[in-house]
Amino acid sequence: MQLTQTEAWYLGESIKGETLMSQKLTTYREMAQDPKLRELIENLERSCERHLSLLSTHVK
Amino acid sequence: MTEVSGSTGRKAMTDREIAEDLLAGQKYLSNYYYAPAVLEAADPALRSAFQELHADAANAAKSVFDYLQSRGWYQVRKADQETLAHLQNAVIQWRQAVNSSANTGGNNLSMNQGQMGWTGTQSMEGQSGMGPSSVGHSARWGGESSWMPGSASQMHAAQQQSSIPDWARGSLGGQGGNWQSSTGWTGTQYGEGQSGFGPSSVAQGARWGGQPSWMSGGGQLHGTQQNQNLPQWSQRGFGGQSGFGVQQGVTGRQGWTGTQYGEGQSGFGPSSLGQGAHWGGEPSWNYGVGGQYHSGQSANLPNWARGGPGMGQGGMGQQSTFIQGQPSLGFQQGYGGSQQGIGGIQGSHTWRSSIQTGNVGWTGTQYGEGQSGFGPSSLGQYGTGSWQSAPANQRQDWQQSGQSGWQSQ
Repeated sequence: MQLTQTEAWYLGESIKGETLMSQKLTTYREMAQDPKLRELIENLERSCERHLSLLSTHVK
Repeated sequence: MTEVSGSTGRKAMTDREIAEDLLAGQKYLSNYYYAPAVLEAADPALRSAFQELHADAANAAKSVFDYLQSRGWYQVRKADQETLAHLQNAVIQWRQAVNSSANTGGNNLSMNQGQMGWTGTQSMEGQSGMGPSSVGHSARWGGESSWMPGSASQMHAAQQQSSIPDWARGSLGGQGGNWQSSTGWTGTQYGEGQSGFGPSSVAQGARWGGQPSWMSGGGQLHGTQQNQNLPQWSQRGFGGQSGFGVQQGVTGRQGWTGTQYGEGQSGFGPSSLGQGAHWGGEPSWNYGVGGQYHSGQSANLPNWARGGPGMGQGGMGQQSTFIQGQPSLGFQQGYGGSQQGIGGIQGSHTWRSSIQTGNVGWTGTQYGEGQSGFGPSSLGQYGTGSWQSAPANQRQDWQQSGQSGWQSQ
């Protein structure tokens, strides 16, 4: 099914948002002092990658 | 506090700043991208993807929130007395407004005067509307239905009209009062939201805690399959059972016990935006004996529960084409008479949630942050939740203790 205008917009914004989040997470992981926070960030990074992968599958 | 300088010489962020920024980021993704995207997506697969992303973002936010709180960096505030008083006043006004509407054939919902259907603490930062069931239609929480005297497990009491308050027998009765010591929801709710939160904001027909009006013990569809065991008025096409609010002789029950945290844009808490959602017990049609699924056997339901044209309890409700565990495609309609939304507006389905006497409908802690609400059945209609799996043993308990009692009446 061809994307609607609205869907395309949200897809694009979501991809940008996740990309920005991913970049922040990379930076924050290096910055974080607390090992627990670092672990949390690493988990979020993996989640981000998964999200980007999922979103990209809907871009045709 | 940890603070370091990066290699660039810039002041680095502290762990707290990092975590707070991550929380804000996850909230933003959840609130402004995924939640509306779910609502706007036309393609089912894409919508499903956005739903998944929304849930992930909310879970991620919770993880960060937990981290912050574990460090003492996220202090939640309890509502002060002034706020609580304001909240209670708002509920009273809301009830009056709805009662006024009900008297003219409008909606009918209850908040029990002199009794807290929802007990606990709610902290919030929000723009509009908060507290239980803002903008709710026929929303209920806590306690029991109006006409049911005696303890919650005594359905037989309800089967005898002599035990039913006078107003419950009439065709257009009023609303009783005198709730006693029944706690619908006990716990703590925290939230920050834009448009209201708390149980059942924007909820229609939502229920949690307590018991269904005509059913004891809760969840016994097989109980409703026998019209002869129902009070006469419940078999009518219309009339009767107007109003609710009487909770006589019920003590010490809790509909929902726990803690809820939330931050969201459009409301959160139990059943924000939910129609017909309920928790704290089980839908009556959903489980028969031992959790068997009996959906919508209208032939075995009392007349008023079958919907169809009519007034009063029958209503014109249509709750068709819903899929268990998924948002309902059919909204509840037909608030035109008494006891609708609680009683029989379901069309061919009757759904009744229940809490067993002395039991706890939902116990636990809920955290969440999101735009469109979270908490039990936010945005969900007839969604499944933790309450479905938890009370299996409780079902058995009341089936054993309550079922035989009233069926033999």
